[in-house]
Amino acid sequence: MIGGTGIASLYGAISGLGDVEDSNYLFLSLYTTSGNSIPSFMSFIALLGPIIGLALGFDAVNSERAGGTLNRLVAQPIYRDSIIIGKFLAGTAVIATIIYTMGIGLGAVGILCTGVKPSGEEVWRILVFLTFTVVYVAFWLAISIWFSVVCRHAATSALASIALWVFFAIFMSLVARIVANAAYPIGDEYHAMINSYNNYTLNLGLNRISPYYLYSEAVSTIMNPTVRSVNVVTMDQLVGAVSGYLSLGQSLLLVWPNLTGLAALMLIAFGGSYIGFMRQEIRSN
Amino acid sequence: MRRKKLWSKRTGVAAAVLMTAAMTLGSVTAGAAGTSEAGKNTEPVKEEVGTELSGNDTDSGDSGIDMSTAYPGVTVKAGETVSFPLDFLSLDGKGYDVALSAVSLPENWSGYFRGDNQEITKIHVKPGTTADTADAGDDSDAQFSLSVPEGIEEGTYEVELEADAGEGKTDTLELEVTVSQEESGQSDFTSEYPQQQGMAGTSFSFETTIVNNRSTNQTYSLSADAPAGWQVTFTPSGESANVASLSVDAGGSQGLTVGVVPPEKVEKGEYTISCAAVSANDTLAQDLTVEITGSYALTLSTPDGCLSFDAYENKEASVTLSITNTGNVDLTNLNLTSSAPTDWEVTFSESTIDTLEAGATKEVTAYVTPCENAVTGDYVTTITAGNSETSASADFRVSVKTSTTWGIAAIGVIVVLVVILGVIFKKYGRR
Repeated sequence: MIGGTGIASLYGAISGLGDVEDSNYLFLSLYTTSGNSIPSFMSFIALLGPIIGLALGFDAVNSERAGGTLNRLVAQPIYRDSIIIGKFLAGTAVIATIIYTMGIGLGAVGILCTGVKPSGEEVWRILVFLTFTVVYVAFWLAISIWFSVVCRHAATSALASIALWVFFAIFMSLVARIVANAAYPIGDEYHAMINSYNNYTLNLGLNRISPYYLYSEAVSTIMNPTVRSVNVVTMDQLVGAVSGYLSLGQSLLLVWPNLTGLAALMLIAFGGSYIGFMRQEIRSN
Repeated sequence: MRRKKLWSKRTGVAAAVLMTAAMTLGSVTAGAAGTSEAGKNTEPVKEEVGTELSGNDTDSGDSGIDMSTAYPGVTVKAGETVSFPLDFLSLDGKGYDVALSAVSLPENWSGYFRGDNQEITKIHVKPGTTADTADAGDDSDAQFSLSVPEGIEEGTYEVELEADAGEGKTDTLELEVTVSQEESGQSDFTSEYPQQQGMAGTSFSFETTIVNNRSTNQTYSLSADAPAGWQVTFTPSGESANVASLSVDAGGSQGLTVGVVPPEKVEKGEYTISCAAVSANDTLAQDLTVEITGSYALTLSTPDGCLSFDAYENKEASVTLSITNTGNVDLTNLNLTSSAPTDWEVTFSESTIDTLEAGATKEVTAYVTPCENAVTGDYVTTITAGNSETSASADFRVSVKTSTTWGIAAIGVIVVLVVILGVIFKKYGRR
């Protein structure tokens, strides 16, 4: 499914490439341009990438437990933590293989179809993007493994992790907007004038709780060198500003909190599942 | 007198025909003068010169010789020397040794006879021919050189010359000299606009004319006396080549363009270029004046010409400015100002330059501090140096960079997390 959407988004990007005004970093546009009614590859991955992680991890532990294989596994002369670490690392390896293959393959097809060559910096940006995507999907893998450790039934853990994914991907922005509007109403003109800055900042801050938003913000900055700020920009900050491109280092520094935050979330999720698994009593039913 | 002259001319024609090959300019001139009478005298020319002339001899009294000059009346300036080429003619076909003398000269005037570049008192007139001396102008065998003294009144003066061949055969020649104060025959070197003004770096071009009022062609060699570093060229009108000398026909004129290029770093002021055209007879001079006006110009850049630099939020970045006075006037009270984004601070090591001499360069350091919430990326900051007369500005591209401090802090967070994970592994694992 992911591969299919990837190809579809590439088709959309190539058809929409003619409308790209900026001829610099054209190769990156292959990943970020959306065609008619087809979202870009980047937003596809942000939305559907978690599916890979969830599919790989939602029944990692509880299906073994239900099938009775976990007892036998633990009976083997291996350390108990090797089981949970192995499950996570195996899943991550599969994810990395899928993501890199798809991302690089997409670029190769793009070169073939358009004749646009990537520059050195573009290659680095794409590699950073793919690596970060692996971390993002691995976070969802860790979350689903955690659920599979906690929940007895595979169906429960699957539903729980999918519910979390849907919440962050779709409802978090609604919730953030509702909370921000409640705290800083901007209903009429007067309030809008007073509160809009705070409203927007709170909205942004709440959205950033969502790993989906963190990831989207980070990769869109990395894949678009013209993005200069991820925060609210006031007019006085723009006085005297001239448009230009940021170097990869500067782009990375801009979204460094997002990158480290997401990596930290992944580690925390895995740590949670690890502790949960290690403290569980495993006995044959 | 008139009769004698007439005769001399007529015989001149006859002599010229008889002498055939050795025809000279003087004879031709004489012949031309007598052309009007040529029709009447066709027959006598063919006859023996001596017989025809001897028949008329009685008319000229007892003269056996004739002395004449082509232009017995001339106009001169006081103080000048004029010379008369003399023609001698034997009227009866005999040869004579003729003694020459100036019978009457006005007071203070002096004159002498000259032949072969020395003073002479006698001349030999060959039989049957003329002692024709008008054949080569200045090189004539006999000339009467007359010096007109300075400071005499205008008017007409008479000089009488006598040729005495002995045996009572004499001839007199009256010369009429009109002394005039007015210059005639003086050549001229003029310019319509001898004074021009312009800024430094301008090329000036003067249209001048050389007029040759002399009776002969003149070759003028051209020279100019200009201040050091100035270039002066002479170009004839309608030509493109620069010349060092040029020839002007008698009575003609020649347009001449004098091109003057001041040195690049010329100072304000008035400069005189003395141009001279010197020929064998004339020394013509013309002073051309160029006034260089003051120009105010300033450039602002950096020593290496790089107009961009990096800066970090809320941190001072310094950039060295080089301010150059490219005009030719000293500039005073130059102020350095800046136009920077909101809340940015720009200070200078020296915000006012008291005096910047013409051509001098001054280096000033500017300290730029971006505001705390500057967005990563490029900003424009304009720095201007100027006073009431001129100003120069430079746009600097300031690349604001994110400080890596927080990036390192974030890595620290990851490290702490990994350590915690390791502790968890230790606590719960391997049991």
